[in-house]
Amino acid sequence: MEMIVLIKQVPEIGEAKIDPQTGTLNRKGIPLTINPIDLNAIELALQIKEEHGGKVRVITMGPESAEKALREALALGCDEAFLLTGQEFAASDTYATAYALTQLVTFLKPWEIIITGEKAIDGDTGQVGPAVASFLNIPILTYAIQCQLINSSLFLIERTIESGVQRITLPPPFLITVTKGMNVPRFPTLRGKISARQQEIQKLNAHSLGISVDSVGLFGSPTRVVKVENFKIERRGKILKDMDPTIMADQLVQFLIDRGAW
Amino acid sequence: MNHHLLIIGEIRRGKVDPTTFEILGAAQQLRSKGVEKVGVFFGSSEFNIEELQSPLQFGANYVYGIKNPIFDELAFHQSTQFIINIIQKFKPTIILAAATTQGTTLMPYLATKLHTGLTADCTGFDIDSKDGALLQIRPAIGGNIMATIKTRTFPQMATVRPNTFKPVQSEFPDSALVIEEDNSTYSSGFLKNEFIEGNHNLDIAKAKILCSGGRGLKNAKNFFLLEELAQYLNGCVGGSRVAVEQGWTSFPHQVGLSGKTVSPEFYIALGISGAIQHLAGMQTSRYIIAINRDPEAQIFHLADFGIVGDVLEILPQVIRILKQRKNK
Repeated sequence: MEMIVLIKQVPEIGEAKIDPQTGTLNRKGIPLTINPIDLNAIELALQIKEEHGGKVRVITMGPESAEKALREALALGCDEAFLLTGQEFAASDTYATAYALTQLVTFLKPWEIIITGEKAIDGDTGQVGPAVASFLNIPILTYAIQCQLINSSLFLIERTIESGVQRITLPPPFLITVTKGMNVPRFPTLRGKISARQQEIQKLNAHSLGISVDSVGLFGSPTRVVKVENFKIERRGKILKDMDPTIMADQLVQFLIDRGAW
Repeated sequence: MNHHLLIIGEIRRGKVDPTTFEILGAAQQLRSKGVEKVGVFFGSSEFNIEELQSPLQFGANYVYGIKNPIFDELAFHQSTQFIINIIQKFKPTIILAAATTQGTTLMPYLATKLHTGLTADCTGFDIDSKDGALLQIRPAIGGNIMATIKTRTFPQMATVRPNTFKPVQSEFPDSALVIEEDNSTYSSGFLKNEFIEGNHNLDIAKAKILCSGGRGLKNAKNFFLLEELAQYLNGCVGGSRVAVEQGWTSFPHQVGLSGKTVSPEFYIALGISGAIQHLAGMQTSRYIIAINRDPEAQIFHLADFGIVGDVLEILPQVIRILKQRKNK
């Protein structure tokens, strides 16, 4: 099975602190890493490869420093890594990002399936995966919790939806976005880390893929952030302490009743 | 600018999903600012006429339904084609859908085909008084930031966070329902496609009351107390990342950036200190109630009602009081 995994490098949110003055995320000095849900996407690809053979190519778009995320992916066992990088891509929204990634994915043909995480924890939109599928005109299967190759050319996929689970059998090509619950991502081995260091990461830019510069970056993005506002989420509610637990519990129930919880 | 706003509605088990009415509520707020016409689109293999008409009582000028089995398959790569045809016919300037599993999949697929932008999971809308553009407001992660986004292409598209807007009753005298049967045969390419009904308590994104537990509950047995609480309150069970990693609850219950974003009427956080990644997933809840032993816990900054104390001491008391009330 020829697989492409789309990943994104994100700040390690767990390490981040909120600046008490501004109430915003202090990004300074926060280490960057692979988006945690993309690790589940990589894990799925590696499991399919281990069981059925094939190749896993991992790709991302980002600054030069995103090379680190690709090396992490190689250390886990991905076969090849590609980085789409260049000033021209800066400030791309989800549409422009998906367009650029589609050009890279097209350049990497042939492949059979594309796997990615359900969303990135920094942008929190989950739009790039479905948008890439749309550009490529292939089926999109989001929120997958299960993905198995049941014979040489058929997949069984389960996706979680509001009413339960949808279970689909289909052949490639398709794009699947996985949830964190799908599997438990492996850790890199020492040998993996050493060999990842020596592997080449292929870098491409708009020019090398024949992408017109004004179809990506700020120019190519239909959406614009026009205002960013701090708002106080501070609610200054009633906080009880040092009281009899029974009385505090009673007041909690009263709070729920007063606001019409039932 | 005179806007024509089209809502991609949802029908589940024959019923119009509450999110469709919520988005109609959002649309009503924009009426005085230039939204002139509001329509709702439904696609399904079968329609109950009465259900289909219900948006007309909540401010829709028209409801447009297309009957075709492809919609039931959730094969978005095919069903988007119908919607594109409708968009070309009606030429809406704004398209909204709920940020459900359907909306978050269909909308980016559709926006890409229309070569236009899409804003995810909005919690507010306005119309720019200068250029008439739709202002799409969403919380950005990492604390107290709201981003306002504009789309310079048409239609302007966004998904809407469930539980954020309230439906408003309102009827237009010339409102209309149109149903079209489209017998075109589209193939999803799915060789098999089954739907397995799940436990509805899993759907934490749409819960009115969500009882959510974290590290402070200490073990799976204590976590069961939270499930008991949820039963008495008719609510759902959620958990922090720690609770899921410890196996006290399963992944579909996880609240936060790597789980689900929720916005219930009541969010009851038990033994949750409030890591950034958790707060970002629940900060727009209507009322936030927290019990935590650490008075410095971040969650108290967000709480409308908080108790500093041992959750394992207080929670059984809360359950006891609820039990007494129920027996009365």
